[in-house]
Amino acid sequence: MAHRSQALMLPLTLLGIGLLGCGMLGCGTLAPNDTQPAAGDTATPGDTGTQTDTGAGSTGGMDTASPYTSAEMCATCHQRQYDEWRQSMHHYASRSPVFDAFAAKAYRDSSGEIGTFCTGCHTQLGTEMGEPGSTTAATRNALSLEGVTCDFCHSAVGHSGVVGNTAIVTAHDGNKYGPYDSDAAAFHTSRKSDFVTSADFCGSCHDVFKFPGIQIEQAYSEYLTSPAAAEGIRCQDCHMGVTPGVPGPRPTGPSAVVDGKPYGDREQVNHRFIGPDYSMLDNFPYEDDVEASAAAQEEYAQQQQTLLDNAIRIRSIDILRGMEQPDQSLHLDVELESLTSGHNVPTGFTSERQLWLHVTVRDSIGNVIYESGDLDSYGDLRDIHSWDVDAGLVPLDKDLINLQSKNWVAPRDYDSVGAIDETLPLSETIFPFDGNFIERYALEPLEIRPYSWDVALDQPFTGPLQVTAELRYRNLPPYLLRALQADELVERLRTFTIDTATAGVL
Amino acid sequence: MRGPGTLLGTLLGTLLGGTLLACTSPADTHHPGDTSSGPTDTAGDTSAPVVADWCDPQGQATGLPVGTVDCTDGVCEVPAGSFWMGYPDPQRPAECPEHQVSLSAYAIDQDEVTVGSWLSCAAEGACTAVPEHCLDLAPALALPVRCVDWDQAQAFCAWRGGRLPTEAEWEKAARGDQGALYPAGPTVPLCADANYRASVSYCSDGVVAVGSYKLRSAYGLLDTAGNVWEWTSDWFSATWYRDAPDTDPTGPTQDCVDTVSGFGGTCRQHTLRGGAYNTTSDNIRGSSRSFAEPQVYDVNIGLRCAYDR
Repeated sequence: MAHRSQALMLPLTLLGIGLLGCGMLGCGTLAPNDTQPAAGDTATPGDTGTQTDTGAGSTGGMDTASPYTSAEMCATCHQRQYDEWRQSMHHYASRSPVFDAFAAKAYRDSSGEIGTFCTGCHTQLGTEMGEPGSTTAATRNALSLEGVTCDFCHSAVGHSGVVGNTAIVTAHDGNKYGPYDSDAAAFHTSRKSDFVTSADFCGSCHDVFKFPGIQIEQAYSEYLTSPAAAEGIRCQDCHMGVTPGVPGPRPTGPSAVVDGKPYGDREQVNHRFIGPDYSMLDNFPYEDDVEASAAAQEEYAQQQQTLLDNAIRIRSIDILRGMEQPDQSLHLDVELESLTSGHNVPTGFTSERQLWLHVTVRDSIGNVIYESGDLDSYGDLRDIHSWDVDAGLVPLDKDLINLQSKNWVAPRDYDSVGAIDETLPLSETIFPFDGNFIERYALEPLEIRPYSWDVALDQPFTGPLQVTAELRYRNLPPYLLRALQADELVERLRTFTIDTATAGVL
Repeated sequence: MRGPGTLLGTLLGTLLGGTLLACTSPADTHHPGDTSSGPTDTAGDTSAPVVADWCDPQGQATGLPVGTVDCTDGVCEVPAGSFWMGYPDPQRPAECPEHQVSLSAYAIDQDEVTVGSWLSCAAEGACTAVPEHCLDLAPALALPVRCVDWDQAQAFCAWRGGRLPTEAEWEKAARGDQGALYPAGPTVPLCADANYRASVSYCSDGVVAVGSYKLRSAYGLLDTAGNVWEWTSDWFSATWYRDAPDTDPTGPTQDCVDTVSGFGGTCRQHTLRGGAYNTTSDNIRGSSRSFAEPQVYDVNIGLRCAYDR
């Protein structure tokens, strides 16, 4: 057996989510369309003003008044934090075409009953301003397009009821809430908040349940019972640190620069909130600069790669000839190991994350004699969602190891207490809101999971043989994008190779 | 179809109720989901009257399935006359107010359009293909056709010698003259009678062949409650009922409002009716209104056609 040597780390990698920030932010007022603060802006604590310009798009009956400050204003003094946040998926949250398509379907299939359930987390400001849940990026105003923005997080003071589903309560009292107390700033006072620096804060949006009845995201719930939580490691430690996925010391430096003068000497947290999602827009994060956007996305992707590398690995791999037909059958063993102590791998929205093994066995002259985890002509795995499998063009990949969670529909005999009658006809649905139970294949925190299977080949092979396993990840499957009528985004999918392992047999 | 793994049927959400978590914050705090200031009347007019002003919960219709069944060869006749449209529930402002509408005589398909019919249309070149995975090829030709966008739906009905029904026509045929919420009246159908999502569970495993249930509307239509959403010809406006003409309304043509408290402006979505296999009992009510942009297709959107008389 070929064991791979890799130092075992115990990171907390919140696959599938980004987390909310801890830095201190400036305060002032800004019309949503403005990109530069007014000269001589000397807003004082408590002067939060009112938004009057609704920026892009129609606003209809939306209440455009907002007590929040644009991130553009925060950048005046907090440029470093702003630059990081701008690349983040928190910023992207209300711009994502995939989110828009998902939300539109949920809205349509509930005749609007779902309301702002989705947008309540993806654009808290837009929601507070009365933006309907059916709104898409094309018609959001500038503040709403900031997604999960600085001033929302740094106005948070607690949550109402159960953690999850954006049950965050904010205060507009002139304070900005974060990890430090300070009265030094001219623009706002800073108050230390145990809430903003807690995992509960992140859980406020990274547990999603209720509509119409299942937990379609449970990163926070997973965290609560995780080894990381027991050790006191928080979401912010791994997703706002220096090395994505690994808690560790952070550099210190100024928290603000005012008129060229640095203020404070504080721990600097990463406001990119590195997670496994990424932009599928050419002009994100820089609306008018595709080239700079591409460079920023590449930089982000490199940090994602680090996050993923710290999340899971192939612990071992082995290949044997079959016992009964040694020249025509194989036995394969692979162990996957979660390096993540804070949640399952993958976590995040159900039906989305694909984390799978691409296994290839080659004979003595390099011919592929067996493959699993390869893609069909549409870019899908050869599972039940593959149109090529459905059309009989390629066989079903019955050995596929895919850690993606699955939403299932059970007919009415389903026992609402939670027990599933295994004999019932079940069907998989790709839309999380449609499922009435979820089957989860993700590795639990720090789990080591062995996979073992036999392969019978049509023809005899000639050794020696070599098996190669690649652990791959992508945040969305092509079939889901097609179902959302977002076919054009399929080519934007980025597949990460997290780990590769090989073994041979004579 | 199921592989190994841990089954986790989480029902937390259902237990937590049907709306966003309540906000108990003090007066100077805000909650993103808290839009409880109430719907506004028109775009930009935040001083609009409260919903109750135009959504009187005291409905006048009896809620009984009143109508005449006159269906021949899959087409049901609906005589000229008035009916109650909308539903007087302040919680569903897009359905308010309940109002009386008079329609000229028309006819409408008894069933949702099937895959078989669609293939016939396509074979004659009058219909364009829907995505292959939505076709449910033989032997499922009796299933409702799905993944049809609005233009395709229009084209099909034209090929059949008809047109898409107006929202009012669809509603009268589904509810009868006295505003029956469901085909048989005020009672939610059993799963034996309709294909929808009954609370957490589903009545069936996806769409079923059209006409699978005996339950019919006051005018003889089948599957108006569930199975697939059905396109109508009207543009959708959430506030349309407040201004709609009371005779042969054909929907708004301008100043559409996405939701009662939402964006106003260009009409860009057509109304969907009837709910689908994956929607709840609320959405299969005969008064329930949803919407989609014309280019949208989905695995739960189909159609039926109407005919002038």
